[in-house]
Amino acid sequence: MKARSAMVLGVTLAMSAPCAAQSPAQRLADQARVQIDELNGDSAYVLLVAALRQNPTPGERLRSFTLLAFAELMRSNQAAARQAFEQALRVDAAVRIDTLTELHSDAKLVFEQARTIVGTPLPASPVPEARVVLLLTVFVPADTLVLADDPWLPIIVQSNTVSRTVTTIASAAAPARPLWTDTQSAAGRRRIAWPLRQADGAVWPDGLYVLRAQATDSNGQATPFEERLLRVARARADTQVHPPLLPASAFAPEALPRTGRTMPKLIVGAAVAALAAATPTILGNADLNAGLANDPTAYAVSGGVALASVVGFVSGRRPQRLPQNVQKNRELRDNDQRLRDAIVRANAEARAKAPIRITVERTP
Amino acid sequence: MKQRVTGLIVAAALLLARDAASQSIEASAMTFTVQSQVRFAGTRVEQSGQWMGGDGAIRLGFLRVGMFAALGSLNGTADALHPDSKGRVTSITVHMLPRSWMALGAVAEAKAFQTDVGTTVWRLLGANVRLTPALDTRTLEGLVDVSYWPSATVVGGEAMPLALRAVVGATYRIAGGPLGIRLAYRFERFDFESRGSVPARLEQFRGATLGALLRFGR
Repeated sequence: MKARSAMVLGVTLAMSAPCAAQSPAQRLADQARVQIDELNGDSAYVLLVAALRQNPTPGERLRSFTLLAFAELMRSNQAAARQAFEQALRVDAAVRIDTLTELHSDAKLVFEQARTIVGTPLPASPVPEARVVLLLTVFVPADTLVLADDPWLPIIVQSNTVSRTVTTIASAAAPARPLWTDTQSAAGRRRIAWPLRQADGAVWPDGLYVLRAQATDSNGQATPFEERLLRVARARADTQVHPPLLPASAFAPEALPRTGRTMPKLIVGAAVAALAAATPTILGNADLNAGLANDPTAYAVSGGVALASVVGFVSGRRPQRLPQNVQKNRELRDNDQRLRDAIVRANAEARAKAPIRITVERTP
Repeated sequence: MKQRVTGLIVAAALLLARDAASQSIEASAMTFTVQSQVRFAGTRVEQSGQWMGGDGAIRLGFLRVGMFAALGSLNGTADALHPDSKGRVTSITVHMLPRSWMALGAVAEAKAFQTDVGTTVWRLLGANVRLTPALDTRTLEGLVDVSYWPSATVVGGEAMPLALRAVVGATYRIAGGPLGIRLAYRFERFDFESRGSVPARLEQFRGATLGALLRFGR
């Protein structure tokens, strides 16, 4: 804070150098007043202390001490504020702060304390000035995108005199229940921001919202409500398209169908059986086999092969599970599901990060 | 002629061979109830016996290498002209697999028969065709295994103009799993040429084989 104040002072002094129309103390006091309006008590304090060191005229001293008192009040230093008021009263016992009391709620009280200490009587009330009509202007971007990570809508409220401006935002469905409120006490142009996050950090849902602002001055004069109807909506996210569903042709059969496809195998089995029976005849030496009966062992084996083939043929007509294909299909389905899950996650993330669009639907 | 047949088989294997990612390992044990028939100098002699053996094979892609060993005996005849003999068979096969159910390759085999008189060793070199067609969807496959030995000789003895073997049967794989049972008919024929004053001799071995098979892989 000190560094910032020093920077303000440095910039102010540098800027004031070429300006010969005002004294340095007056310029510093003017800058301090701006800082007070901006509620920057520390910066105003630094500027005013600097102003009082510039050999100010009595008038400049009066103004600097008065503003210094307000700066001290903003810094929550009532004792110092009272001393500043005392210094101001010693310069001019008839000094009044009526037009400045809106700047701080304790100003009147502390000022009266200072007046009591200094012993100056309460001066007669001045002739009331002509009443200034309080005006309030609200600026909201007509169409803007805000980042989803740190969403906030800039709003500018501007009043022509010192006033207390209350700005609220409520759902259009329940305009009497504000979701967010901001209060500014100063004159001029103030920039405020509506954070679009709820207390739990979640972004306010899409929908219509009503912005209302009203300024009230110390005389109780209030402006009409300034209203804007805002539409909050997520911008379109850049999402991925889901792949088409896997066609049936992508899957391998998980069981052999109930068809007669084993018929060729049955024929092969019969051929093998026949070959076993005929082997001694085909390959045997005719002389050696002469007089011998056919080999019963060959027939036995042949019969066994034939019987097994028939059994295989019959059992082969039943559908048979193919575990390798079942596993392959399962992996195919799992991979497809993993891909879809990843897309769902990526799309959800993209939607969450999509910027938020705020448009003013209606301006009175 | 013999070399042409062998060459044709090997050439067919190379032509039909396709790169297959399959690899497997298998082992089996078998018993062979054998009947031996010999016709020599106008007489015919029959002997019988029991042989036991086993083989193992490994398949890598379209290449399959297998070994087989068996031993057993043949009972002698009552006239003592053909005494009891003990036999031993060892072979190695190298196959190309152009199809998963077809193996074409070469086989080298040695047979040794030991009697009280002495030991005779046969040396057989040739080609082998092995077909294992599926006979149903999952559990049953046929077996047709034919070996033809163009080069077949008795060590230090006569040559064999014709030497061949056929094994025909089927293998049942229990529940489609790695364990199988094989039943086959085995037939071997060896024609010995005459040599000098020794007349030609014909020999046949035939019988049923029953075995258990264990196979892992595809």
